[in-house]
Amino acid sequence: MEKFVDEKKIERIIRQHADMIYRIAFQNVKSKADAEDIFQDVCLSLITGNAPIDDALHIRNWLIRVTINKCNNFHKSFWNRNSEPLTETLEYFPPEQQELLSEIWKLPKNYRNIIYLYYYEGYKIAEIAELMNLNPNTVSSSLNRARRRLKIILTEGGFNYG
Amino acid sequence: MDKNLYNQTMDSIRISNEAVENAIKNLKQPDAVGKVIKMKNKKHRFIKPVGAVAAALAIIIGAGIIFNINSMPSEQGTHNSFFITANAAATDDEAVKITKKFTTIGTVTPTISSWAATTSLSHICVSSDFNFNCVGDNIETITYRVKNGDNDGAISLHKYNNKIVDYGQKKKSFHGGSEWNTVRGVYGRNYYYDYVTVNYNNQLDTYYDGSRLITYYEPTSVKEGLLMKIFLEEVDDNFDETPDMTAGEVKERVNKFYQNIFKDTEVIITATFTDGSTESKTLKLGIDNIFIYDENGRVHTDETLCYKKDYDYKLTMSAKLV
Repeated sequence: MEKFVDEKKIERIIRQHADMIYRIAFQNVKSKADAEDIFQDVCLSLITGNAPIDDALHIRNWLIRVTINKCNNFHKSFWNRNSEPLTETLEYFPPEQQELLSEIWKLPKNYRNIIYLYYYEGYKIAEIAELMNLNPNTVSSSLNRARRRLKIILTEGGFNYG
Repeated sequence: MDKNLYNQTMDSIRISNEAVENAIKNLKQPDAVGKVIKMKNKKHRFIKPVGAVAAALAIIIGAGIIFNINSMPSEQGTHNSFFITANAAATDDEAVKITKKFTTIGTVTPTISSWAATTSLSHICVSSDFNFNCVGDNIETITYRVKNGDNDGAISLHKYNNKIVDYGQKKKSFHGGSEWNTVRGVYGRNYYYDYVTVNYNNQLDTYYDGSRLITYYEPTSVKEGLLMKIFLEEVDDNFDETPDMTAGEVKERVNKFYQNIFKDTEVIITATFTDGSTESKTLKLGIDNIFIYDENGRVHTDETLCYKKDYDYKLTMSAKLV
């Protein structure tokens, strides 16, 4: 079977969503280098997978889903390796952001993804549930738990809890 | 109003231009799938072929990019026959052939939905990755169906899936009746089908299609239903007040729970050939191993005391032909 892919379209999609893919990966794998690896894997998926590259509305959701799956797979393959994880330094972030990232990394990874999609990407709970293949109630309760754990930091600047 | 600290921090997490340009450049190289090697921090990482696609992708540089996706070679000397493969995530994502002996097919994190009319369960559904593919000659379509004894399971696929050429009853949730909802954004992220048929050249992939295998199980007695409910509360559900157990105890209970559910689960795969003939094969499922791990991916030893809010588990599943 032959599959034709528009090179320019792929490149445009990668450039447009690179930071988003990287952010999701970085929060999950806690390593700049591993996040870049996952970014490259996701880019490869654009040409080997069934990506809806002609659908601007769905490609973003597709990329989020694939990135999270790649991060989950990363944790699985990690078990088969003899290498130890390298400690990521956050020195290139300002001190208050270092502290926030350290707190975020203590959260279960599902919580991190949910917070990111809700607060930064602006997805609704139902949309997050669909993206992450979770029950909306699970998303809602995870969001509440994460808020409690990051309460002080998230209330700075006036977060909308609705 | 200034952006709050969380958004400022997320703004600061940006990929380097160099990484983006390298990724784009690597995608344009011939044989990108099999041969891209990244060196980082003295560790080697390889881009592995995804799904059942072999490492025979060829990329031709030119005005566009053309990919030749070659399927795995069929068995020699067979006509109108096929064999079944599955991704073996535990063995580096290479497809493995299913035989009459149990073969590891991958590591899955099952998700459970259950219904309790009273204190015990009336029935339970377990959802796991669906990562089977068929390989053969002269095959036009493949049909998948799941059964658990007399009960029907389901194949569930993401709402936006466009690979299905035929399907059985379509529902927005396993127990949601026969209605299905076309409005986007409504809960019903996957659709559930009694059976699905796909073209041989466009088979399912658990990552891209969200394909899941749904096993449906009814406890055979009230006592069994009660024990299963206790399992959910003490081992599987995320209640912080759950009593703590050692990883060995968790494994034993997880193993017993899923062995019971999967013992009668069958995946029935039917190939329809270009001459109209059909051939069916049936798979049985089993469990190889159970991993108890924390959020950093570190596996707990059997003696480790696990605090429920800090651990999760995965199963290594296996399948064989019957």
